[in-house]
Amino acid sequence: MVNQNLLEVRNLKKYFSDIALNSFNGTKFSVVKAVDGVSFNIRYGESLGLVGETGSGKSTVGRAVLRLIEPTSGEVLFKGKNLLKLPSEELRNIRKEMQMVFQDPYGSLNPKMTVQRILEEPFRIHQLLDTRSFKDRALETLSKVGLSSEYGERYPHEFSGGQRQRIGIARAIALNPDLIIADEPVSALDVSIQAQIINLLQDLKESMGISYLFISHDMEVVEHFCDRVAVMYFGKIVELASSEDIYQRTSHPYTKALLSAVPNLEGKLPQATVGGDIPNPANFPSGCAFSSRCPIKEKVCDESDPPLKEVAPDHFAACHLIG
Amino acid sequence: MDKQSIELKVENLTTRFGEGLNSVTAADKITFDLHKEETLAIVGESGSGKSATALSLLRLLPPSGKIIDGSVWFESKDILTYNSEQLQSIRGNKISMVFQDPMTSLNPTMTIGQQIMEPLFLHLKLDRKMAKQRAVELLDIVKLPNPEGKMNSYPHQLSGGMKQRVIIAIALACSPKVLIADEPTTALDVLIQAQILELFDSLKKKINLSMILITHDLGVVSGMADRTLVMYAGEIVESGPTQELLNSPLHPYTVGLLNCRPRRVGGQKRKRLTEIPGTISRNDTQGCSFYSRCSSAMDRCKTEKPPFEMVSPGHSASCWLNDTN
Repeated sequence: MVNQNLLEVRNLKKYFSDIALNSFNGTKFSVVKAVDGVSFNIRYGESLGLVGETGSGKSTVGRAVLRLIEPTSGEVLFKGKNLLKLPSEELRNIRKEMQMVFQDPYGSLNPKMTVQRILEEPFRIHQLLDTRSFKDRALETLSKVGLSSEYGERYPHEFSGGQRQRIGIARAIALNPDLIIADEPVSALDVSIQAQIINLLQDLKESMGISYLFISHDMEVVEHFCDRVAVMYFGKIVELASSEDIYQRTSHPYTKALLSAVPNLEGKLPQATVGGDIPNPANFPSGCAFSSRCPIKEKVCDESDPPLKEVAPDHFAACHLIG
Repeated sequence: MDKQSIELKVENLTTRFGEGLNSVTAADKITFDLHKEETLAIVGESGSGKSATALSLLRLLPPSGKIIDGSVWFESKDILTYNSEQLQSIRGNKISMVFQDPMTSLNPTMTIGQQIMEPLFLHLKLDRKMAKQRAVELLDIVKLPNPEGKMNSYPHQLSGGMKQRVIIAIALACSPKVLIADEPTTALDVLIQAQILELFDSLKKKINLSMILITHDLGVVSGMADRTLVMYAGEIVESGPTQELLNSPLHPYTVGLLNCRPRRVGGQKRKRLTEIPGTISRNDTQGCSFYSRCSSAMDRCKTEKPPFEMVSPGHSASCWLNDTN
């Protein structure tokens, strides 16, 4: 099963149109291409990292895959079924096999529900068990994430950020999903708590065979946790390879810049090899989206957008100047 | 200038939030010196008291917070005894501050130019023409592209990185002696963070700045700070020259902070991260505050508080493991 695809995303697009802006100044529609033709696959038991800066579209990919927002076009095949074509009844059914863990452990738990109740919700919604078994299963899930079952009676505000994230994870694993989409699951946590949560996610991967789409801006966390890494810039994947290759044989200049900017402990300043900001999404550059910041840019980069091509076995990059 | 002479001296600074039984000592007998032209980092997680310490230095605490003891010596006077008028003449003038969140630190209804000129009018009493000239100069120093044009921009027209540059320009407007930067790059993307750190580094060299850098990221500290203080549960648990502290940490908490980051060890990816179990708590007032989470804890740690002692020149920690007696 290991080499089979659990999830396959093909040419996924999500465009937002900036209506508010346009009704004011009367110019023609501007479109923000938040996700612009993204393709990747996740095998059974694999974790794929999706990294990028704010505005790169990585969270939008995560949401579009689950249809929490409706993609503009593309295909999302989960166990061979195209989620974008499924009727809502069937979609709801299949959703118990794919769950989400959110960034903000404070905002993603209902403050009016006890932890017990929060963890019973998945069973209730999918009408899986009788009411009496709910309770046992909810408490069982709690112990899987390292929390004592006596916490079931408490409310979310009684917990620390790390504990809340554990509850969020407990809710996600309650129905034994095959895929978890984790959107910056440790970014809001302190470093000492980050390690606890990353280890927990890893344990669950091993014990329950969960695959992850792990969305993060933190190159080090992704390298540690993921088997393969996709780097996103401006709505597109610019490099995709095993986490070993991404770090040892970095190919795209953007990935190189991200890596050299990671703070280190060697007494050197992180290097800012790239200036400027992500370009304005409503004002789309022609050619390669990274050309406005690229340190090795040439004339061809302004002319056409480089496709994602295989530069080494299972190592893909979108750059005119490579391969 | 003499590197060893002291710019700012903090003694026994103790800050408490709330009253009575529910009160929390956010900063407990904090003592340190900031030398001239030095960058001193204060490192800690949320709840460690690092920001409370920084805010106490300029008495910017919210109403629930009170400084109950200590002194902050600057230009041979104790700032904590100043009245509000005296304090106002120092804030943003001789000691200025950069906050974490560039999105909310600027006034959204004022142009960039107006906000940079404000301290120039207030403290330096410049006229409009000179203030404008100096403001453009400042924006140029912080490497904001097209400084003249940006004078008329509003904050929402700038990106996060550009806003933080403007905030730094405002902080530098009156050529302060001390700059306190509270998590100045935490809200920024990693590429922008690298740009801002590079800017701080070049500014330090250019304008003889003494700086207190508050951060949770030991990686940021490594390239920036001459000396580092590590705070835990309101106390300084270790202090020393930055590279020495990172290479041979004395306190188990510092060791834990270094080990729980997912970086490679000897070029190898680690299978599992080393956790610090539990969360920060302030219950064990009797013994060591790190006792409940410490992997090397001994019986003694539960009942006796370890003193903050020098172990090697300039490198101190509060841990019984370093006790040679």
